[in-house]
Amino acid sequence: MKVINMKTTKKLTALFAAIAITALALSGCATNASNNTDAMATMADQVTVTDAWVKEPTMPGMTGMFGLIENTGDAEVVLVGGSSDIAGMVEVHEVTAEGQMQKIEGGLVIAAGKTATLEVGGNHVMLMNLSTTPAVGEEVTVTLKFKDGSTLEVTAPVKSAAGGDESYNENAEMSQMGN
Amino acid sequence: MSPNDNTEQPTGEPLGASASDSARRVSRRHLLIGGAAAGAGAVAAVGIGAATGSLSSQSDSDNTGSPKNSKEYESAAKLFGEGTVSPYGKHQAGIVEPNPLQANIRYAAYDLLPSTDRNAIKRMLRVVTGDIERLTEGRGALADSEPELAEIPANLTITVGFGAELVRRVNPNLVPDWLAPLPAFTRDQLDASYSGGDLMLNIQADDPLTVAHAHRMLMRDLASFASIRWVQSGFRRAAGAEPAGTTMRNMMGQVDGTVNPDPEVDEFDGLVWETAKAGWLAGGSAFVLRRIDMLLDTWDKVARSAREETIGRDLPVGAPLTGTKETDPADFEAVNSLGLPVIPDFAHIRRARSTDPNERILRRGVNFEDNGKAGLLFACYQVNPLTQFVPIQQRLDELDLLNQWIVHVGSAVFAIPPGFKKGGFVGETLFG
Repeated sequence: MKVINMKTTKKLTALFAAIAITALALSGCATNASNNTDAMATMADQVTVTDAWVKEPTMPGMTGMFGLIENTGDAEVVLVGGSSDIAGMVEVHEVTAEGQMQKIEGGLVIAAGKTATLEVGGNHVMLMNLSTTPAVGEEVTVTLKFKDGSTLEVTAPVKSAAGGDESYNENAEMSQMGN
Repeated sequence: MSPNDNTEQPTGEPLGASASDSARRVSRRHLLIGGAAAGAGAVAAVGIGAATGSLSSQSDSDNTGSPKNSKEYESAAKLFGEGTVSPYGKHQAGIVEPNPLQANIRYAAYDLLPSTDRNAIKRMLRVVTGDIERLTEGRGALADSEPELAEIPANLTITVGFGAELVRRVNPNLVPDWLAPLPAFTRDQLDASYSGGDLMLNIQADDPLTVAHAHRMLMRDLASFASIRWVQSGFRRAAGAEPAGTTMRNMMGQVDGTVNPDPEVDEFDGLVWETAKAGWLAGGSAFVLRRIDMLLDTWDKVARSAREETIGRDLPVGAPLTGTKETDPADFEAVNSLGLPVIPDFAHIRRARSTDPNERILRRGVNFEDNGKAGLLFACYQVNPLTQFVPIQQRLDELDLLNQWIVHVGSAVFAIPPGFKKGGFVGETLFG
């Protein structure tokens, strides 16, 4: 069951955008409002998140969010990070060919019409400095942040998952993970 | 088999029917069977190649009779593996829907971990519901490491039941009085490894791999909340093997399940489905599972006539000994030339019957065969086992010649919560 709860955020974003445009238009500066040709369409507006879930933490203080991020628009979007009530830091991570995890420099680019798959062992949204350990079946809210500053709130259930355990350290720890 | 796919019946023709044979009868069912075996060439010949799926460019059938790849099967007709059953509704799926029920069944019982309190039970049920919703649609569950195995739903249903302990942990005031081990029967030889449980999953599908994957997924998700207590697998005939509505035969060869309330005919509310007076269980049911070992080695030595008298029905069609058709009502007054009852006093159907119309149950037995044992996973639904199943079983326990060849070795009772809507979760009424 996909959990999308973006309506409120989207509406507010759109509302603020509309207000901003109106204000700028009144002051005669509308052309500078945004790099987008269509000032209304933020990156968050053209993104749909489905099948989002958060992994039950298997390492202290950190976990990942996974799912599908579809860019339904006709311009690329870039996911640069996010925030969450339960995490001190939210970053977009990739797993290198060597199995090491690292932040994606410049963010995760999703071309127009494409879907990015966030999956265990691959790209994912990393939740760090957890203030609480979310339990299986709880729902975690993560606000995704895009390069243009727009945001999208995603609610994802916590599920347990084996395999694909990530390593932040050297290879010694990887073998310890049993993968 | 799809519930709606019962208009055409297999002709019984050998599977190796030639292309021209297949073309003669344009029946979806026939094409599904004959067409697949005869290869894509035969299918294309009768013009339904594009019915579903794609007849891909890879399907370079050489007309030798064996399909090269799955795409050729896909092109034949709707496959029963594609069939889905909605998990939503007033009642949970898997009890009267789909009809006919699926070929494979797995009952799995779990014990809640000590830490699984009311809040955890709620979280657990939400996770289970999410899995049910996705898997029955033919989609991998969230965090499914083998989502490809979910792609063939094969009419999958997953029915959830609660033992007394689960209900007690949520709200001790909501435990129905019947939700407890059944009163002991004198002949019972119960094994704890087939009895009891706090949570029960009944997973049914027309494909055994679908059942296995669904259970694997649920088992992983339940690991934080519960430990497995027992698993019992059973089977009916394979999907499409016989006409829809055919009464099952058990491992003793008997037609088993003839007299059964019919949702098309009988009022199920108050008989099978709990009513408003059951509170949180309204729309749900009371479920009893009995594992019955059959002593087939000694049964095999019994003459056919004696086997028929043991049950009170004949073996060829399951007709009562006083009738000729399965559906004929049994005449318990009829006597033979010696003045003896045609259906003996010790016969199973005489002992099981009741004149009280409320003393009926919806039977859902399936066969099992594992670890050198064979028998029946007798299952039934009702509103109150103490007033429906128990009096029937007490009569059988007291006298039933069939007892010579059967032993009840497992027993469990579960409350089956009502169905749920999209956005809800199974068992939500328990949380008020």
